[in-house]
Amino acid sequence: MQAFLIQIVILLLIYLIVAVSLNLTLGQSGLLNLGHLGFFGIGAYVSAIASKTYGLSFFFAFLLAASFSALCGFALMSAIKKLSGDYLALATLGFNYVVYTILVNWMSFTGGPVGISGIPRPSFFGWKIATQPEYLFLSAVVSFLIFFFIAYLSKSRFGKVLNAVRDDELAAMALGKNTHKVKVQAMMLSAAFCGVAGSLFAHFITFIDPSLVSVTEVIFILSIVILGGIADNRGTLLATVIIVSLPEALRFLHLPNSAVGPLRQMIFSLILILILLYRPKGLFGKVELK
Amino acid sequence: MNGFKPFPTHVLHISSVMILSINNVCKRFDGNEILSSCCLEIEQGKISVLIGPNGAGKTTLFDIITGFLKPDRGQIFLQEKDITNKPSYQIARLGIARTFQKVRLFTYLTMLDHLLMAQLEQDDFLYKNLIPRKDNPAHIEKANAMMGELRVGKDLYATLVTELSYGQRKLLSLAMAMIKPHRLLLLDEPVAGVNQTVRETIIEQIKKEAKRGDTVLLIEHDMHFISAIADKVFVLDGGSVIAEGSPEEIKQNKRVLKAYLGD
Amino acid sequence: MLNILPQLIANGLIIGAVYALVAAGFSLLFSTNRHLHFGHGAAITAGAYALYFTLTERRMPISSAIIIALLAAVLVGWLCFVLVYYPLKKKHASAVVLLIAGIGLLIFFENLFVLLFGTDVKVVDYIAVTKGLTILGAVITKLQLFMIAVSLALLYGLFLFLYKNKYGITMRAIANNPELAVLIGIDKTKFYHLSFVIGSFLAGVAGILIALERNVEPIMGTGLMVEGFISAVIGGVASVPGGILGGFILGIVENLGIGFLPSGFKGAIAFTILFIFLIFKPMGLFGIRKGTRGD
Repeated sequence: MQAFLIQIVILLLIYLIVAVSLNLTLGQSGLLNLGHLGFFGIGAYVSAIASKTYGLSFFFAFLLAASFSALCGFALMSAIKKLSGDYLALATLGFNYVVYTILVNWMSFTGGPVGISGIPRPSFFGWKIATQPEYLFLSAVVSFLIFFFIAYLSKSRFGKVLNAVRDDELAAMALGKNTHKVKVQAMMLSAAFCGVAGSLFAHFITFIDPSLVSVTEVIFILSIVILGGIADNRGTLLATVIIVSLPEALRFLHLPNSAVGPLRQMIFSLILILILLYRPKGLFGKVELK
Repeated sequence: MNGFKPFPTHVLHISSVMILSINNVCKRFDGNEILSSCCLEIEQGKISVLIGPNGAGKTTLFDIITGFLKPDRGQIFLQEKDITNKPSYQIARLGIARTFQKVRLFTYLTMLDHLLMAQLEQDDFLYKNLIPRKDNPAHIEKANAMMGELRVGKDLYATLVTELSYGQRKLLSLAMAMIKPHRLLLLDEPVAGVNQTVRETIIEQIKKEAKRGDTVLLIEHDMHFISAIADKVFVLDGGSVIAEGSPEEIKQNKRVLKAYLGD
Repeated sequence: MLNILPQLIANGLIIGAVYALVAAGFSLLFSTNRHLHFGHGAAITAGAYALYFTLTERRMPISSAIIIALLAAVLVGWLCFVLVYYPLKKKHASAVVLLIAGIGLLIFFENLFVLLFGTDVKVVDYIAVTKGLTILGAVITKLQLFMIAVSLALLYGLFLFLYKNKYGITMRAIANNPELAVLIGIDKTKFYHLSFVIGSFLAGVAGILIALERNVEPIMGTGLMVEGFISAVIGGVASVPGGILGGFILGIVENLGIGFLPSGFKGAIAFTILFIFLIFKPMGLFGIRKGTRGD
């Protein structure tokens, strides 16, 4: 039982990083990035390939995952520069799909639909992280660093400009702020953190495949962000706990295995729709999704 | 005069400098011609007012000057620089500050935040703005002074703008524009919807701007306000300037009276 | 290489006919309701599964099966409006909120079908696989010709409705100028309902055709809707004729593409076209981009 709980907490922390980094673009700069999971997949694969195929140490694989994701974030922002509203949201969804297609089709590099298995557990200068509690420690350190950085960011000068850009982009431009540059930086950070989460995931589960970035997983992450409320990370924390534990709670109902997956998705989508209908600010949110 | 650089064809008097030059600007929306060969020149250091019936294109002209819209034809010159196609944030950095018809503020920032942000130049760059740096005391000083002049109580500094009254929000948006480094101030209906006290404060501030040597161009409807404050009035109707002159001249201009009845 | 060109084009026309149906419904919904109905795919899948269920599992006669399938599709689409979109619109939800709600609906229904029917691919073995006819160098089966014919007939019917029928003309008026429509006293809500019924009907037909010609699986609606959406973007999202043209164009370009690239890249081709249009020509070929709510 203890092993089971530790596993849940590790996954929780990883998904929390994903949710909080999405909040950075959505809540702080107002960009609805439906392709966010693409960065998760990119980070996971880059880290896996770097350490398994090229034998790089975890530290470097991890950094590579973050940097490459950030670069993809930059590329995505440049592509969607002229779009707004739901066209923008759709283009980001398209990004997700493109990542998925590349992962599935570039067999020689990514292993195709079968994915990559046997990803080595991380080791830092001789200390190999072999047990779950040790991995929990690693995930906790990384995730806390990220949360504090993001919390700190919203209080900094840049964070204030980020908020201003979300609230009223025109007014921010009238003050001389290069709002596109601001949004690009937010996206790159968001992508880097999400890539980090992907890397942690890959080395924990030791097996990854393209289903990580399938478009249906977007519902999972969207429901966390919307349930938790935009811009407020306390809500995100609570929402992640709820949504990650839900499928595990379903296990206790002894449903046939084949029903668990779709049921989980149906519940998430229902939660999403109900929140939008009855409580659009989410649990703690300050800002309504615009 | 220091830095005197007249336009070859646009100098009216030897001693006056045109800070803003709008040349034959045309703009069409959904098939309607909102601005049609619009030409005007704004003299530095003066208070100019743009009046005209609703829909005459005044706010559209502001949007074009400040880069939020691009004209179909024509150019905008800020002194000698062609700013027609520059992005709005660059135009803002070149020294044009503005307010909007609808008061635009940032929901979750405090009044002080607004005034500090307006004074900063490089805060849109993450790398330079991560390490905590104490807010520049000179900036804080300026913010205090500005709020003092606008007669906003000091106890309101830390308030979020969501808790302010309409008059206070209007004053804040004016303060933001004024405290931002600028040479030209564009105000869109600065006294619309405010009470007498606030109005007088605003009039006082605008006059101080001109005394400092900055240029003000504003849009307003209230003729009393205009007579009290304007050095020059431009009348915009049907997308172009149909008359210009001092407030007294305009009041007697028959064409203007025909196009724009009322005070 | 050139000798397979006619076949590729023929294949493109066949699937393009289906894309056109989906795109026409999608564009009709967008131009009338001013938001993207992402749950549109659910109506496609509903029609397909209903057909499979009635025809293959319950062995009902084809005519009843088709009627039930169409009803299923219309019901699904209409419920999306009544239960989700309409209440949200009454609360002045923005286009993005409606988009997310649509995604929620899509995922909900997709998984509902998995729950009910499983993830395996179902085959509707109603029409025996016959040898195809050879026309102009391409092999086409009678069923495929039938698909193109049905699609063209329905699209023509849609054209007649939108341009000659009193209700259709009103619907276009609402799409063009909703404020004016209110001033004249038109009850827009009735037409919103109607648009969902018609759009979902077209989607149902698409689902039925694919079920007959290929197979049925839970994600088919999503896939087809995405292609339909891309077709609509190509033609101009608010333009029904544009969407139709876009459907055929997409079908042909995709098939020409996979004639030369591995077939796994079909989706990538479609999305590349989407990106190109979104970045360079978001209005599409015909579209005047009507503002979405909150634009």
